[in-house]
Amino acid sequence: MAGLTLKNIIKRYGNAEPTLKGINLEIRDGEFLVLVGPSGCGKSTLLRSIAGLESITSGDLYIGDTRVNDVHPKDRDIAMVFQSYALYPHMTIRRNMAFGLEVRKMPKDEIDRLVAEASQMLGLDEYLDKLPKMLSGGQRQRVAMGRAIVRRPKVFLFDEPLSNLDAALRTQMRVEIRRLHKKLKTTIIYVTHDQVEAMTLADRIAVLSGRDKEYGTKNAGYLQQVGTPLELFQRPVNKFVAGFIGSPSMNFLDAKIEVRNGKKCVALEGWDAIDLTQECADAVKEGQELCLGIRPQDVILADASHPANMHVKVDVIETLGWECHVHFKYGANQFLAVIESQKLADIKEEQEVGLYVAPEVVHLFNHDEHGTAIAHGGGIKAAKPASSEGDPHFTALNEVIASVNEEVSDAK
Amino acid sequence: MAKKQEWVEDSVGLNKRDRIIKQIAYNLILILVCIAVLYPVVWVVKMALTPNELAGIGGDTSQIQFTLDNFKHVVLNQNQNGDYLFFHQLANSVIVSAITTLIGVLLACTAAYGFARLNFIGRQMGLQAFLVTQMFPGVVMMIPLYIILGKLGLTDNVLGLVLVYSVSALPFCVWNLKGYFDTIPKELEEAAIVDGASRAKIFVTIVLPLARPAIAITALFSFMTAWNEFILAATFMNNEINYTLPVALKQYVGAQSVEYGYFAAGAILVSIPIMALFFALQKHLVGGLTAGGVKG
Ligand SMILES: Nc1ncnc2c1ncn2[C@@H]1O[C@H](COP(=O)(O)OP(=O)(O)OP(=O)(O)O)[C@@H](O)[C@H]1O
Ligand SMILES: [Mg+2]
Repeated sequence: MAGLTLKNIIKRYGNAEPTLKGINLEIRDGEFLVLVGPSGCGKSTLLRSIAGLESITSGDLYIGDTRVNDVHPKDRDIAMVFQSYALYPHMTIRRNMAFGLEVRKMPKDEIDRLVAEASQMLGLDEYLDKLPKMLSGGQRQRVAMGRAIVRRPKVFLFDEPLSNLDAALRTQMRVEIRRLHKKLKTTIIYVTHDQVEAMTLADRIAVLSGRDKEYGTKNAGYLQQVGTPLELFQRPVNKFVAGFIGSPSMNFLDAKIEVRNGKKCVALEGWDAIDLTQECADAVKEGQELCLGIRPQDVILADASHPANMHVKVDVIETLGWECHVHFKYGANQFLAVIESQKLADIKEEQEVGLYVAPEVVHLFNHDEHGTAIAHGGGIKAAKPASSEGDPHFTALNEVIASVNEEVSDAK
Repeated sequence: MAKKQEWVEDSVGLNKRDRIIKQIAYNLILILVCIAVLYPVVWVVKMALTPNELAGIGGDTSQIQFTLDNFKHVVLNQNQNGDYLFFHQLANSVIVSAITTLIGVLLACTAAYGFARLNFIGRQMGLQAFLVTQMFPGVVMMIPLYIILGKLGLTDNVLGLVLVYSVSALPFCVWNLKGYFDTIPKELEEAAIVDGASRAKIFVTIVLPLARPAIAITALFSFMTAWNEFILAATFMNNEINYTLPVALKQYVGAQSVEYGYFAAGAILVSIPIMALFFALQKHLVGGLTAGGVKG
């Protein structure tokens, strides 16, 4: 086992603009690092560079203390699970798993032992003598994982391993991966598009940026932020991370700092204004133009104890069951809120309603191309004390994490 | 079950009578095509079994006689030195075709893999050059080839033919195999690389087994090219004993007379090995070998 160090990794395909423009990252031994980013931002490229399937244009890559830039993939002692499984179609499941060991000239009985162990762990015992085409997607996925496990590599690389499975299977496999990591304690780098996967699996998440509608590839190919799931959620370093982490995406509104009743606040449409926490207030000046970020889950309908500080008009209501996505019209902007269905009982489309946004859920960003964060309201935990019924998405998140942990410990 | 069937019929929109008529029509067409295809074959077989004097086009058809004399004559044909020509010629054909196939497949597999997977200067050019050579039929190159073989001292020698055939079959084989290698997912090889296999190991244990159908086709093509070729063989080979079978067969079609019975018997004997090879390779001509490897 070993950690990884990436120093200023640059990867350029041909003469095009580099796909990766300088990745610096330290991955601890045994850490579960999840790599996220929009499609085409270079996640697979980074993973393949670490595996040695692509050469690095410049920079240094260390596995443990060894610089491996010029080390052949087979000598890097990594195992990769491909997005497409990439099982050898003409070999039985047993040979698929044993292949890497056979190539390394491991004694036969040792191979048998390791394959048996891995297949048992993954519930593949009865399929060992079948061909990959006779297996379902989820089973193939497990074979791909088994092939990686038997090798006992220093580092696992997973490239969107669950992306083609259905929701139920995905949940199940997610737990299995988590369990695997708990058991083997091997360093894992895991690429995914799925927010829940990222949040539940990661020790730390690394966010890679891609093309931007407004600024093209200028900011693409850099790591924007690396941190624990909650760090990224509560204190995103810029608009990109704020918009990328969390689902549905954060709302962004143009706003201006004004002083009303002797206190700094964020002025919005009409006379709407949201108060600021001390941390935010200290970070801004009167008259400053900035970008206000509010997560859809952090918005509540105004009531007696929560006076309205945003006056909006309902545009479209999408019912998801327990909660609804409510699209509001706010001046010329769209504004999304996630609200419990039962609270929407007597609210109809086109109706004017008042919303309450607590100072603690406010995120402030610069108005420039980087959208650097100025200050954060303090986070959802601070916004609503743990004793109250709790913020819906925070509870949901915690529930998922808890259920995964529970299943993991159940299985042991 | 019955319900389901009904629904299927409904969905096709045909009632029972229409379907029967359609079936009959299909079968009639198929029977006609079969007759058209098989008639010449049947005719050749009949000719081969009819005594040579009666077999010709103008032959007497009023009496039907069966005999194996034609085959006996073709097989036991001797030259002045008492050599059994047919066996020498059969050996020539087999040697030329087998070696051509072997060289063709070996070189084509490796070359095609290179073209399919490696990036090198002149890759595109090389592929196109191969294609260009296919624009000229062998006959056009006959005289230069004759001169080259003469210089190498390989005229009237089966090795000369092997050389010429291998070279002329290779471009097609390379293109054919490259096309197939291109369809084998790259990830399979990448997975093997990460698993620790060398290029050679990957080629032998992953790529070749998956390319089996294409290799079978390529082998069949090479073999048939060499087995059936006439003009070059007739030009380069002077001594009867060095002929390949197609050249030998031509002898029965003389300027003055045509020995239909012998010709037909010879034609059947020449076809048998090709048919045998085809049946032998048939089980490799299956699709879907890469199924299940990558999700798609
Ligand atoms: N072999 C290649 N040659 C040239 N450009 C490439 C090659 N592979 C990838 N790219 C480019 O590099 C960029 C990143 O590709 P990559 O596959 O790493 O994206 P990704 O983040 O994995 O995307 P996704 O989430 O869709 O899998 C893309 O713009 C792609 O066009
Ligand atoms: Mg990818």
